[in-house]
Amino acid sequence: MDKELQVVGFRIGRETFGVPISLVREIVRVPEITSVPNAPEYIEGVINLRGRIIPVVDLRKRFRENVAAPTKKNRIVVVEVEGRLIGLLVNSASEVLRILPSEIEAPQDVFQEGELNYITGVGKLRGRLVILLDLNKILQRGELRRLDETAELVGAGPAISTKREL
Amino acid sequence: MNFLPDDRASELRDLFFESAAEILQAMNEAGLALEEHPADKEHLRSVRRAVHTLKGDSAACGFRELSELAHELEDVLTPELVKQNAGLIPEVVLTAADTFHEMLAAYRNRLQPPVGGALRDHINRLLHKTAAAPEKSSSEAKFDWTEYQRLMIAEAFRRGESVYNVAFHLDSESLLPAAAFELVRKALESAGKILVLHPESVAQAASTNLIEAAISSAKSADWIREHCFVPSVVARISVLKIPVPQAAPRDLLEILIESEAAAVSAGVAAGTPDSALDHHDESRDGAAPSGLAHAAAENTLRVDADRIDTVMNLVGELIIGKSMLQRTIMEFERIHAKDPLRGKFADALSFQARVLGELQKSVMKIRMVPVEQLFRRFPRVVRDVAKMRNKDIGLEIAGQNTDLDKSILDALAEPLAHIVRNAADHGIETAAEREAARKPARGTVRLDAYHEADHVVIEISDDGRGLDRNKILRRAIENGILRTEDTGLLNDSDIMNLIFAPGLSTADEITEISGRGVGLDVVKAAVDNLKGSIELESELGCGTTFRLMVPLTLASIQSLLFRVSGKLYAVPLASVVEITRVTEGDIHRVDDHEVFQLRDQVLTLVRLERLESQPQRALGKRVFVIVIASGTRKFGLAVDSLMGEEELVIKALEDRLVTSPLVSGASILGDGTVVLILNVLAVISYLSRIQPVGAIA
Repeated sequence: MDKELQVVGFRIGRETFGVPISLVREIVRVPEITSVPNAPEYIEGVINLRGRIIPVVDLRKRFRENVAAPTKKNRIVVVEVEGRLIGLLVNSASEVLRILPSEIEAPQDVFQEGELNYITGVGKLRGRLVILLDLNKILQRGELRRLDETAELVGAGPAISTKREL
Repeated sequence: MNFLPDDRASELRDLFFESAAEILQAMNEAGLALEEHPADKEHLRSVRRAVHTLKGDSAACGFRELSELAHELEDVLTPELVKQNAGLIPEVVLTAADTFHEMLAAYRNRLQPPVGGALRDHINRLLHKTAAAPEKSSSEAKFDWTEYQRLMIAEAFRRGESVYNVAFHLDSESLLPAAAFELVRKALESAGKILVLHPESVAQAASTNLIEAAISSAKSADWIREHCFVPSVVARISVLKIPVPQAAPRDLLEILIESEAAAVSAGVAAGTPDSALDHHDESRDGAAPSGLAHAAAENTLRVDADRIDTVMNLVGELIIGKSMLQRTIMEFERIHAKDPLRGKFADALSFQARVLGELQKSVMKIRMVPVEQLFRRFPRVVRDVAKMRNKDIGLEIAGQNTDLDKSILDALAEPLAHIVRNAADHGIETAAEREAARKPARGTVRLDAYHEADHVVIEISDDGRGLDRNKILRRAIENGILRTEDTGLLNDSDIMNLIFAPGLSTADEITEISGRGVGLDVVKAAVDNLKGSIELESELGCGTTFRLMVPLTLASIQSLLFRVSGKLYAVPLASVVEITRVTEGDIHRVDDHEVFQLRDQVLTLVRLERLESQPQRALGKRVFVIVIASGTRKFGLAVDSLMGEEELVIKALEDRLVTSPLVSGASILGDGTVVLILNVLAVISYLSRIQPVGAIA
């Protein structure tokens, strides 16, 4: 007897994605987002979640989807990854989906390469496909890129750079 | 302490590491003092006390190797041995402190501790030199009760009984030690209830002429002394009442905490005042602390820093709540301009604001510790360098009572130690060089700390050889930090600042102590991390001064809020010199930079907005310019509108996804929006590097 997997489903573009419900802390409407200078493009900024300041990742930008104009349906899915709270900005967060493990296919080889290895599987639910995400991988990749940029920023010689003033 | 549950045991270990660090510090200080005044009884006593405490505590935590080594050391630190080897003792003490430190570090990382060869050599040397010295340790009353025995004593206290330590020195002429033991035990039994008896049995008693006991009794010490004196068996008897702990210890852990705290403060307090008896003994046990030490321990509370942080955070939330309330009431006043409730609201709000301000100050005070905690490590550092490099260096310390946030202080420990080591190693010349330069043979390193506005300044200065600008330039070029053709662009302070670049050391030779080219860049990074700054002054041949400026606290900051392209930012108000307005027509371009004139000065103008989104600027349009000073630099920041000033409670942007050197923190305003606090210096250097007239947002 397989235990069904509960995932929170949300939509980005035309696809439905899912993350395990155990990682989702809450789903909130989009408040005012404060952008952070010099952050990667897909980092939308930071929000105030009841006194805690948490970063918001725009998954649409992360997946190179077209970003439609903000609508009332937009939501921030707050997930906990390795003890950190992170908001995922999505088009709309739909529902809790229950998927039988037997209905989940391992990602095909094509997903395992390069950019797409953050997919842990594809679940089938009443004829719909739900792409299951590995949040760690998504955020890690982002950080790798960020680290590069920071290194660039710190790398230049200190004294010369401060020279440009009168 | 194996019978403790795991979390309890680890709690105990943490506690031990913390107190051990203090004990080692005390040993270091005593060792240095002994170098100055060999065989000073007071210092020796504090060393012995430290070693003894360390022995007991490490045993309790299951750190066998450390406990054994401490025990061996304790054995050679007898007054006789010390008297005969006064010259050696300071070195032994300092080596011991180092060895114990290494062992502790190993335990902390769950590694196999080092064997401490150097210390063992010292111990052996002491022992062999005086092999003929009579082994007297067995004849001293130590009352070295085990944890279990201490617990028994604590139990008696809880029952409200008086407890006495009793020591019998048996007459060595007595031919029947076993019988003597029985007689003594009988006498004790009739005097009160025996809690602890050492040796425990007749068999063990045969090899010693000392019997130690703790009894609870309703009688007085004198009565017990007289009652227990067995003629012709007992040579000497001493009875010492154990002071009642004010709050009866509730469990083992607390007894330990107390004894540790007492042992630490006993480092200050001298011997037991009421031990006028023959065992004026320094190796007093924690369960029987002197009244003075005990009182000190009771008024001091050891609290996990995390708990204070939690309170601090809550106070921060309250301040946010206060500004929420303020905004709401302002709105209320606008809508109901005539409502008599307005006055009441205002009163209540100002009362609340006052109390909140006090609360914040008090909590902040808890976190404040005097910089002395940091400075006291450095005499040892300087002494070691001086010894190794064969120099004569004195250390002057001032301003040690200046208070600083504990977390900042901790973060400064390594950077400061590095600068001090550098000053002693590279700054100060050898005595011969100094005399040739007509300077006193003894070099001086000076530490000072003082408040300046909302910063604390820590100065490390030496009267050594100073920095050689040409040498720095040469090294910078050699190491590829600087291009030869750029040297002309640098002013004096730029050249000095080169020494903070990674991979640059001006020391001619790489010494064991410093000069490996790692260091000052790390120092700078650490200070930057604290939102502080570091300045450097140096005169060739006269000395060098490092000036570290760090904020008083990392908790809150008075800030100026402004908007650029609709986005809200804040800068620390302390860095704002003035606010002025400039028309676009008065802004000129010079060599890719925008500049404007402020009275008789020409300042660089910095804009935060994106260039491409910049509409054609109307020449007549006036913009606000915030003039910001940072260190010795001054520049203008063009902003669209000013939003006023506010006390911001700093929350770290700690998530790796969004941390940026350009932002020193974030805060939540009363209406719930998040505002970013710019790290002005980093913004400037970033902008000037990325693009001439750049954009970050």
